[in-house]
Amino acid sequence: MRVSRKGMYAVESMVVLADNDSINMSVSEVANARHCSFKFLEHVFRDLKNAGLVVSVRGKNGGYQITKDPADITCKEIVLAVENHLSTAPCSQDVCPQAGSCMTQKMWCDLQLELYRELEEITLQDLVDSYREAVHNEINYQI
Amino acid sequence: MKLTTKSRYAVRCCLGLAIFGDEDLISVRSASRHLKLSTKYIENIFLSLKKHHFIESVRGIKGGYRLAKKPEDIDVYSIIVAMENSHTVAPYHKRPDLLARVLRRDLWYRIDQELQEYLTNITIADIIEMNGGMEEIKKLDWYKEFKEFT
Repeated sequence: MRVSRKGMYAVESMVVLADNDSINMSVSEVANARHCSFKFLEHVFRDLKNAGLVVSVRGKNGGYQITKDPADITCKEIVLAVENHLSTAPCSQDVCPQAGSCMTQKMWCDLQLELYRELEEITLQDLVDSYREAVHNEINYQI
Repeated sequence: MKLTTKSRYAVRCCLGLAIFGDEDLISVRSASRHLKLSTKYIENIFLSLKKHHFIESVRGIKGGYRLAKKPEDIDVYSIIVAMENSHTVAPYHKRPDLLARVLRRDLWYRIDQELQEYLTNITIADIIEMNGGMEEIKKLDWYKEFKEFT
């Protein structure tokens, strides 16, 4: 159930974009900021774009920007944009041949809902706020 | 928190021992038949469970395994923790920078906490209750089948 690298970079990229406010960012800029490969991040952005979370703008100042208010974007949307499903157990997705004699299926399905509910509660804005606060504190330490 | 097939079957093994273990001991062979898994795999799970004192073994011809604790004292989270090496959904970062650390604290660990709390509150006895209690379970086909076999 560990979140994949793709899921991780999707959330990180969205925070980077949201933190930059109105300035469009190219994939290579985000890749530089997050120290990850350009090629890999291109896939992540393609998925984010398909999910309608970001749009690309052409031209000199082109790049990607977030389509919605960060307060309206939940972590569930971001993670599910790049992963088909983030399942706790296969039986919460597919039909299990042992379903008839298994007493734990309902529990795993409920766990899945719990996971989604929690991801839904955390918005992109929350993460950007925490990040800005952390950056602010970091600067204070250095002084 | 991480959830592997082994953990899921470990929970089912404990459940099986709780349901069928009141009268008989459970052998690796009968457990593997019921769960449709290889005896080697079941043995592996039983040994891990035994190592963490969830179950105990009895030697001899009529030997087998039984729960070492009461079903209401075994929570699902502790079984999972005993089976897994890693207890987090957090993705692996070689050298986490500030943003990665913030996300770990405010996103991934928060989810871990939530899942942990949820699973700690479910015991083996609760799962039996969720399925209607022992009386209802005894009416089910797979229960009778297992009883016939042993």
